[in-house]
Amino acid sequence: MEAPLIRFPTGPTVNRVSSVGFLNEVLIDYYRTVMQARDRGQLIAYVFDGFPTEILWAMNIVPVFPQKYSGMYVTQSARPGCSSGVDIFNFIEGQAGYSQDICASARASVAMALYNDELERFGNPLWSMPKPDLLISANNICDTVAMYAKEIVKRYDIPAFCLDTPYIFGDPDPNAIRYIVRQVRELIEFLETISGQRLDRDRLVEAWINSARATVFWSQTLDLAARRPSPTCGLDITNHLLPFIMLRGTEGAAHYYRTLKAEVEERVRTGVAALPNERHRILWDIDPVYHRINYFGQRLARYGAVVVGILYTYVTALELSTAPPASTDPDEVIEGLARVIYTFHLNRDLDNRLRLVAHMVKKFGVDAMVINTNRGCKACSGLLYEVNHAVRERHGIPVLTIDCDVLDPRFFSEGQIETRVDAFLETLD
Amino acid sequence: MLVAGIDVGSLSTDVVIMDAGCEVVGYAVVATGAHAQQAAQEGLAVALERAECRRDDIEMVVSTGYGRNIVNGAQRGVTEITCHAKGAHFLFPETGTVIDIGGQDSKVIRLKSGGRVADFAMNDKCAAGTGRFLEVMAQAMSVDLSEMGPRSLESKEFVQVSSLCTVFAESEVVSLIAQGRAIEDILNGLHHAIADRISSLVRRVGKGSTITMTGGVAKNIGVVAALEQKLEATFQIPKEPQIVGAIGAAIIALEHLECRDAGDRTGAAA
Repeated sequence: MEAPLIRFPTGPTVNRVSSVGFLNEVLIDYYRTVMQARDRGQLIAYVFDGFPTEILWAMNIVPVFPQKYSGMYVTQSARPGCSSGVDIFNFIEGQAGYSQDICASARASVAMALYNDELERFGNPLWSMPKPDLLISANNICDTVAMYAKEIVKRYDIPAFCLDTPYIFGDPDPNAIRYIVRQVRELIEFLETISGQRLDRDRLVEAWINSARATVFWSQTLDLAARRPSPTCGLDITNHLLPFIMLRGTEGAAHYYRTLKAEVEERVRTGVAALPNERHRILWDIDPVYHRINYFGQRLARYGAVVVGILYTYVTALELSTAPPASTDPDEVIEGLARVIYTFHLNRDLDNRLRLVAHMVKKFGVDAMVINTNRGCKACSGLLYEVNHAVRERHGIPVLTIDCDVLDPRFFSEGQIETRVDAFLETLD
Repeated sequence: MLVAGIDVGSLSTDVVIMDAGCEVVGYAVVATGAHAQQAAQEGLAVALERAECRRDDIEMVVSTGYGRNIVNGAQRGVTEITCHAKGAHFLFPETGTVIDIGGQDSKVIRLKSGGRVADFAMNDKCAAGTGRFLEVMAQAMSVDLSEMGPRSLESKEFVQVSSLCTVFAESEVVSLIAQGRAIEDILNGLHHAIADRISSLVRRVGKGSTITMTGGVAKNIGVVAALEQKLEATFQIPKEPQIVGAIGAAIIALEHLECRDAGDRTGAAA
């Protein structure tokens, strides 16, 4: 079967990293692994953002992220002749009766999970999401994820495990960490029962060390955007987040990020910039608009503006920094996994978000910020206007708020967005 | 030397011809219709005729508005936010805040020195509170657009129009008429509904010391009165508020051609 070329658009004016070719190979390899899992006797587990896949890879269980499949689907569909991903939303609203007011992540993930066979797949079965053998969810992203995960469980009648993560007001609570450690141990027992195999604790430690290495290489790569001019555009580099989410714990992921870091370091050494005429350095909150990455890349480039950091991308590199350092003690590793789940960025309060923003503004020499409301995602957008005020008052930099949905392409009024983005960039000039 | 500013909006296309001394020597307002490019050329032709000059006399054209990127012969496209700020500052140099209510857009712009934009906010997602809103209501009430303002000032009793959506507000208006409420009272209620939406935009960007109102809806004295009441301010309103964006675009053309004092010249209100 011919491997498809995965589209990672950023616009012709942005000088993207050439590791995108390697990324294509890594992801195709992952999708093949998913597709061939059953033939190899591997179980398939549906999981969601913020879940540490080290446990699964260590037990030879293949993780599948409905959110990532649907994000990829929307990005790949955003080209002439394709549906722009609208078919997912028409489908779930029409066939399953989901309201448009439910967040796009819920609608898209459920559509991909339950109706994948009926969606456009670009003629390639690699894009199919296989039926799951089990599902693991948590409420660290939000309660909606835990709820729509239940819908998938109900439809497939599969065993499921839901982790309960108390919201973090202020600093992480040691009692909550103990509570989640206990749940992770129960999760391991659950997986052992379903798979019929014991968790190999040495393999778990090995997976954890692979993750630690991948995290170091990934965070060092992202940090290089602090150089002037930036060697990378945040909209381009965010594509390279995917192995970190889906393949964390594998040696392949560690190798991938070592390679990526080397390429970006070489760019710094030889003076290659993402945007040669860089004039403005933009911080983007929170996700890129997946069906319009090309659009924003080009629009910003016209005014010499480059995205030097995206919050969603950057937080991934910080997660492991809250866990114990790379350890060979399986109990410490289990606590580390619990911390990764617990300290997922959406499980933390406004002050934490503002600290992160302050850190990025200073580190990356940001001179303007774009906040996307990500319409429909309460977890993302609830804090937005507070972030907007705080950034203006504390850092004295201008902020633009745009109103659209990162996944659902119907909630995007190009004329309105274009006017706002252009006017904002004109004020910077 | 002459320059042209062309503002291609959703309802109207406005063209201003300006000389090197920043005098408006001719202008035109035409309906945009379905063919924005054509409307831009037609508007330019009318303005040229009124200015008694030819197309070749125009050294630079700057376009603005939603259709700014499709104007044939424009050397530069600049957003209407920047152009309205520039135009309002030119007409009233003390302007601190611009309120522009156009056909489908309403915006509030806070200015810094030289007519440059410090911050702005626009209506989100829908056309409630814009010229389109008033058009729909005028039709629902069988009232001419030009009558809405004067008649609303004769209101005797306040009527709250609660719907946020233009389409649903129309249904509400029809219902109010059926209940026998006075047209003047309903009109006043509609104008206050617009004022509510705009004043929240003003609060978002901050109210400057002097407010200039631009755009076609500035001709509606009822909306102006409601806004002035809400914001406790008296507005500066140009004689022809619809062409302020085009004026700003023309100023930008002059600045580009190095008539450097263009933006700071005090011009008579158009």
